[in-house]
Amino acid sequence: MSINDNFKTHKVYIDYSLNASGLKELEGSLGSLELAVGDVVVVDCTGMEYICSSGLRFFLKLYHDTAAKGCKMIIRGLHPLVKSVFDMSGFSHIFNIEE
Amino acid sequence: MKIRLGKYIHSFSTKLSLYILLVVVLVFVTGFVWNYRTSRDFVSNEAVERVQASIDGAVMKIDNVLNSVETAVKNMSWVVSEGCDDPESMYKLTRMMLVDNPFISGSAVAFEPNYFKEKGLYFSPYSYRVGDSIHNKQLGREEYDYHYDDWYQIPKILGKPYWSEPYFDEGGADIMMTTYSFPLFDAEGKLFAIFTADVSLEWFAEQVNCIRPYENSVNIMISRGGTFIVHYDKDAVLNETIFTSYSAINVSRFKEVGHKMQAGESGVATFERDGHEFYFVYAPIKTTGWSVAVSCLYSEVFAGVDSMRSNMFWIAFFVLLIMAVLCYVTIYRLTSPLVQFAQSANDIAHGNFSARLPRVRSRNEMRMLRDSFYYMQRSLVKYTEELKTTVANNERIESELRIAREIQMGMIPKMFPPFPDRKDVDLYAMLVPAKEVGGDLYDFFIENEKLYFIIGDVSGKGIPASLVMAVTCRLFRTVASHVSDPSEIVASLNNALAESNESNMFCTFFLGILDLPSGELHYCNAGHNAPLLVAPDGGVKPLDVNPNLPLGVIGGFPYVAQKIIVEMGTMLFLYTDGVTEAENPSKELYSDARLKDVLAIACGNARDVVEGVKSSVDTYAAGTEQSDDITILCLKYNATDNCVNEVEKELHLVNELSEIAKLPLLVGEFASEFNFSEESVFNFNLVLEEAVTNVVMYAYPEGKCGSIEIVAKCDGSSVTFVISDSGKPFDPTMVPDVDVTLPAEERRIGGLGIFLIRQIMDSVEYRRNGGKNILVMSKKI
Repeated sequence: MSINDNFKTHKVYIDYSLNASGLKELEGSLGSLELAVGDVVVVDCTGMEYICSSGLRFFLKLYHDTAAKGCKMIIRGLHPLVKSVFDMSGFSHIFNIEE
Repeated sequence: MKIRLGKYIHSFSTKLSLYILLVVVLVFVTGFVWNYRTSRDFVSNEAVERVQASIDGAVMKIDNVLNSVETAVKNMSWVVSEGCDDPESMYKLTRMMLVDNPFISGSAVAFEPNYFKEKGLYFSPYSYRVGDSIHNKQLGREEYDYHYDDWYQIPKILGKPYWSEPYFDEGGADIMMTTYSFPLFDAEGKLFAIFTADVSLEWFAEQVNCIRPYENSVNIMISRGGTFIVHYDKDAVLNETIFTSYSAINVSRFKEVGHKMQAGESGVATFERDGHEFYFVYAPIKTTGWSVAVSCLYSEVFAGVDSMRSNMFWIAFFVLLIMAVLCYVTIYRLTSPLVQFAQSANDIAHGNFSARLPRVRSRNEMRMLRDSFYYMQRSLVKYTEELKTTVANNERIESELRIAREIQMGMIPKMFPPFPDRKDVDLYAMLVPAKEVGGDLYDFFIENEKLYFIIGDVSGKGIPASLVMAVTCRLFRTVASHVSDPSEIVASLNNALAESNESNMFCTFFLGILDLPSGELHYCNAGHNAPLLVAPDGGVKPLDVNPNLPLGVIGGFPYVAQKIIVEMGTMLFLYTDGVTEAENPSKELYSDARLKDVLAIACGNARDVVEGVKSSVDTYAAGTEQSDDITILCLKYNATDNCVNEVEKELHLVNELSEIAKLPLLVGEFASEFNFSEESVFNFNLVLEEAVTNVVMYAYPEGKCGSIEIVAKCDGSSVTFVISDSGKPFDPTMVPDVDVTLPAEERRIGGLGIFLIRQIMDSVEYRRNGGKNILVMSKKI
């Protein structure tokens, strides 16, 4: 995927299990994200071994937020089991997931 | 003392005597009062009449005398007129008047002034009595000018005869008198003299005082002016009038009576003076216009009546006294046995049936009561004896029934668990007869790796049913040891029972033979209700059975056997209709549906299931008497591998998100024991977290502390999680599925958790039971 140089790429790393407590930590770190039209948000989930439905909701919310600001969201490095949850919920079809 | 007095006052005889006495006294008093009043009225009238008669007599006498005086004067008047030539002859004439008329005390011929020139201004020859002799004198003189006296003036003015008011004759006879004056006229009609006749007041007094109707009666006579002519007080005569005395009595009324007397009326009046009442009877003397009155004291008038009244009172008093005593004694004697009867009844009540009864000689109601008492005593003795025998018989029957129950219970296996060394089958059974003994039955045994189990219900209850039950049980054991085909066993039992079934008893029956290694179940039903199959996921359905016919109905009936394969973890639930037809106080049945509901959420081993169902039935019945025998047999077919253990773990959490961190530990324990794949661990963690998060977030009101119980079970082939909480009712299975095909813009937040659970687990069921939300999630491994 090509990214225009004029637009910024924001990277978000999630290297912990996205359960109820992990989610709290993540929401805290996202407060500092300043997005402009055309920016790309890359969520790197390489270290994320677990996700619950609240985690999925977080991704959906993030997707709505970025789309509202004219940005793109890319999810990378999904653990196979986590990926299966994305598949189950049908989120695999609506998010940009890169292997 | 007080109590004894009260006893007498309230006693029957006292009360009855009092009532009788009261009535008699009332009658007596009424009669007495009426009699007294009538007598008094009568006496009163009598007295008045008597007094009036006396007065009338005296008045008549006085009138007669006065009339004779008048006549004498009138007759002599012409002699006076004739003898006017000789003044001295007048003395002779007046003297003759006295001689001829003994009532006349004095007589005068009073001439007008200077009628006889030679006699001067005053000439009035006068004769009067002094003792028995008659004296003469000339009345008129300078110091006694008779021409101005009333007895002279009034007839002169009136020109007709006149009785003077009584007066004291000072110039004449010097006595109290009244004078009859007769005017004399000459040929020209000119008055020339007044001819008089005096009558002494003493004579009147004598006449009036002759009236003495009562010892102390008092008489008076008054003149026309009201002056007393006769009075019991001599000083009052001529000095007082009827209007000036009697100041102590009702003056106005007395004056009224005085006026009536003056007016010449006669009558009766009553007065009170110094606390004494008296009659006052008066009548006029027509000749002079005077009036005579007699007063008599009430006490004298009614002396006879009052004395009679006292006598009657004392007679009545003594009669009543005697009557009261007689009455009391008689009634007491009549009713005294009642007290003894009361005592006897008390003794009988305390168990002394031979209590002594009072002796009653007379043939009256009391005798009837005594006879009834006597009969009651004898009956009580008889009935008590009968009761003793009945109680003894009942005790014997109860004892026999107790033994019968022990024998019956001894015929069915009661050792649980029956096969402790086997892991492939878990069985528990319960038989609760409605009476001491019942007609339900169950039995089971394992032979050649085959589990034989039966359940049956003999028609009816109690001893008859229990006998048939015993026969059926024995027959089953005997037949099953020789025959292995279920339909043959049932047919043999049927033939045996039908053969000698004179009392038309029958028995619904179910026989199952489970091949334990293969799970193959051969069964034959004989009119019994279909057993229920409870799948590992909680699904409850009845076993497909051919009803056939109950045992003992028709010999030679061709019973058809059936066969199914029982899956591992399946539970077979056999029961009699005592379970589903248990009634609550409103006569509503427990029902198949309720049983299925309970079984669907039943967990634990066979014993837990059976006791759970029984406890549910008991709760439903809420103390209502058990109407039918209840029998339950529960069979859990676990697995062909005897070695596999079921592992069950429990976890108790509070409703806080931090508690979720404990969930992976629970899953980890299972994982190591049953070698779960990484994916399974991941999925179970996800499922538990989603379910528990739901409870933490929504079940309890914010700030309220609540508990969450998690039971996790695994037998190597499947995993079941049961999550229960006491929060508000919420069925997560009712949340609609998320539509995963929607584009991101249309996807909504929410409903994902339960969606994931459904995706991962094979079955997800929700129950609300005992105020708890129960979520059961199972998955095969």
